[in-house]
Amino acid sequence: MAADSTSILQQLDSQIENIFAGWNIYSTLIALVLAAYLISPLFLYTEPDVHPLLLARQSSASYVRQPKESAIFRSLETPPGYPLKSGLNVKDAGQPKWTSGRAGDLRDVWKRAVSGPVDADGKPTGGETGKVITTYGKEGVIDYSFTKLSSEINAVGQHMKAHGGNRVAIHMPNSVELLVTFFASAFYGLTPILIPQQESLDTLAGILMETKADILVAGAGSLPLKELLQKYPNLKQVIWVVERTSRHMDWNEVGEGEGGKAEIAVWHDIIDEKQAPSEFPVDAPENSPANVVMVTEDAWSAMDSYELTEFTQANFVAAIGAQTSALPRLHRLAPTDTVTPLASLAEMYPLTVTLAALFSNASLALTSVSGPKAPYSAAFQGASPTIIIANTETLSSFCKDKERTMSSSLLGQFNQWRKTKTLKAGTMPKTSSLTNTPRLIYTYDKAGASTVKLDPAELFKLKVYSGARTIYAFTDAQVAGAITQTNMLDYQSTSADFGPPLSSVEIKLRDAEGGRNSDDKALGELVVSGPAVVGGETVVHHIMTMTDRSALAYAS
Amino acid sequence: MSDTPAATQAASIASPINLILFSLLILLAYFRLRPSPPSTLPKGPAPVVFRTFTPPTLQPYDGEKDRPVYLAVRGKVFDVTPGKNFYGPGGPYENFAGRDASRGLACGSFDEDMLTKDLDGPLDDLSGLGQDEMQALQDWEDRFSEKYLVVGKLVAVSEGQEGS
Repeated sequence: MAADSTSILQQLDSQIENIFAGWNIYSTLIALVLAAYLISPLFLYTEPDVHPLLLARQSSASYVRQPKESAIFRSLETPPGYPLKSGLNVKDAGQPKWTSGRAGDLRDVWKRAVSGPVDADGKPTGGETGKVITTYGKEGVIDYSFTKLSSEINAVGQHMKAHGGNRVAIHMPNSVELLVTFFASAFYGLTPILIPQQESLDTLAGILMETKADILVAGAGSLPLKELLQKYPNLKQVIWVVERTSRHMDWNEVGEGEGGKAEIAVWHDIIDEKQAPSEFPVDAPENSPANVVMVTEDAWSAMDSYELTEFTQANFVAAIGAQTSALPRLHRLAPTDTVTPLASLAEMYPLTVTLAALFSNASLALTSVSGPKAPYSAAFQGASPTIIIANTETLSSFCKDKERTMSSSLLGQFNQWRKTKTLKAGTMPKTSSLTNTPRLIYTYDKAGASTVKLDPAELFKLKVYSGARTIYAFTDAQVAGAITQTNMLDYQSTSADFGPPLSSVEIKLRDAEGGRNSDDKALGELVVSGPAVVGGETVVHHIMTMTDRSALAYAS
Repeated sequence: MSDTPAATQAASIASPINLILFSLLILLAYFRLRPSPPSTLPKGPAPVVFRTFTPPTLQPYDGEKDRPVYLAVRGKVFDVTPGKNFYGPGGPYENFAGRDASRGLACGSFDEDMLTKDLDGPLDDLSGLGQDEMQALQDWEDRFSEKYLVVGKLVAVSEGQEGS
C-alpha cells in the first residue's frame, strides 16, 4: 500500500528533474540562441512596402457586364461611375482655390517645368526648377536651364514659322534639340512628327511622304540630303543639328542644286542669331497646338513597315495626368528626381513618362545613346539618375551580364540570396548610395511588337541586380501613354501580368475566337477606351485575361 | 583515466535537455523560414450579365424564393434587391416587383391598375400623364440610377427576343 504508489505527477516530476539535471554550459548556449531568435523580430522587423491585400485586388471591376464582354476594369483611382482622368488639372494663378483645373495641353507641361512647383492655388512656390543635362559622349556633360531652353524654343519656333511649313519631322536621337523642337511646335502651332531612328533612306522618305512633312530636323551629316530630296522633294526647310566638334564646318554651304527648294539652316546659328526672349507667345488661334504624329514600327507586318498615329493634345494630357498620379503617394515623381530616358523619345511611353517628369519638375538627363541596343551603363555616364526609362532589350542583357558576375563569387551569391529573401518579404533591400542605383526603372511591352518580353523571374532578378523598383507597362500604338502598368511596390515573381489599368483608360475583354468570357473568368480580345485613346476606343488583337489579382495578362 | 572526462563531455553535449532545446530551435527556424503563400482576397460576386427583358421574363424577379428583385422604369431594369424591404414580398411597394413601374412612380400610386395588365402586349407608353407626373417620374429615375444597378432593359414581347 505504501511507498511504491508514487503518483503519476511525482513520477513526472522526477523525470523532469532528471532531464534538467543535465543542464550545462551547452544548454545555456542553445537556450540563449533560442531566446535571441525568438525575440529578434521585435527589433529587426520591417513592414512590407505595401499592404499585401492592396496587391490582391489591383483594379476595380464594374458590377454589370454586357453579354459577350467582360466587366469593365478601371484603376482604383477612377472606379466605374467616376469620370476618367482627362487632363493635367492646371490651375491658373488667380483662380479660386476650389475650382478644378483645366485639362491643359503640352504648353502647360513646359510652363510648369519653367515655373517650378506650384501650390494648390496655382501660384509657384518658388521651389527649385530642375534642369536638363545632356551627356555628349566623351565631350562631357552640359547643363541647360529651363529659361535658356525657353528662349531656344522661341527662336526655333519663330524661325520655322517664318520660313513656311506646318509639319515638322524630327529624326534625332534623344537630345535637347528634340525636346526644344517638340515644344516649339506646341507653342507655334506646328505638327511635330516624331520618327524613330531609321537606317533605310527609303523608309524615311516613305514616312516623310505619308506624313506630308514640310520641315525636317535631323542630326547634321546623318543623312545624305541629296538622295533624300530626290526621293522626297517637298521639304521646305531642313534644320541641321550640329555636334559641338563639327561646328567649325560650314553646313550651310550645299552643292549646286543639292538643296532643291529646301532652305537649309543650322541649329546653333538660329539660336545665336535670333536671341529670342524667353517669354512665350500669347495664345492666338494660329498658334493653338496641333496634333502630334507618332511613327511606330508596325507590329504584324514585315520589316520596314510602320504605323502612323495622330494623337491630339487631349490624348497626351490625359496620359500625362494619369502618369503623374499612377505612382504611390510617397514615391511620386518629384523635383528631387533625375530622369534618364534610355529608350528613344520618339516612342510613346518614354515620351509620356518624360513629359510627366517635366510636369512634376524633375530634372532630365538626356543621352544620345538610346534605344533598344543601348547598354544599361549608358545611363550612368555623366549623371546619376534616380529614374530610368529603358527598353526590355537593354534590361534583359543587363540581367544576363550581372547574373554571370554575381554567380561567380560566393559573396555575390550570398548577397543575392539575402536580397531575394528581403524582396520576397515585401521590402526593397537597401543599397549603398555609393553605387549607381536608380530608385525606379520603367519598362514597357508594345502589344505584339516587342522583340523581348520580360518574364516575372527576370523582373525579380532585375530588382535584385539593379537595386531599383520596376514598372512594367503594357502599351499599344493607338493609346497615349500606357494601357496598364504594374504597381512599383509589387515584388512578386510568379504571375506574368501587366498590372491594373491607368486612370486615363478603361479596359474590357470581348469574346473572340481565341477566348470567350465566362462568369468566373474574363478572357478575350482587349478593348481599350478613354480620353487617352485615339478615336475614343481601340481593339488590341490579342487574347488577354484578367488574373486573380485583377491585373491584365496575356492568355497563354 | 582520460576516458571518463571525454565520455562525460560527450554525454553533456548530447544530454536530453540539450537535445530538446536544439530540436526546439530547429522547429522555430523551420516555421520562420518556410515560404508563406501570398495573401489573397476571396473573389467577389461575378458581374451580372446585362439582359434584354420582356414583361413575361421580368415577372419572375419579384423576390420570391431568394430570387433578386427587379423593377423597370422607362425601359431600364434596376436591381432593387438592396431595397428588398420596400420592393420585395411583404413590402409596401411589392406590386412593382418584376413589373414596369413607370406609371405607378409617375402618379405616386401603388395600385394594381397602374401596372400593365397584358404582359404580352406593348409596353406602357405613359400617355395621359401631365408635366408634374413626368417630372416626378424623372426624379424617381434619377434616384434609382444613383442608388441601384441597371441590369438590363425592358422591351415589349413583339419587339425583342432575349439578347443572347
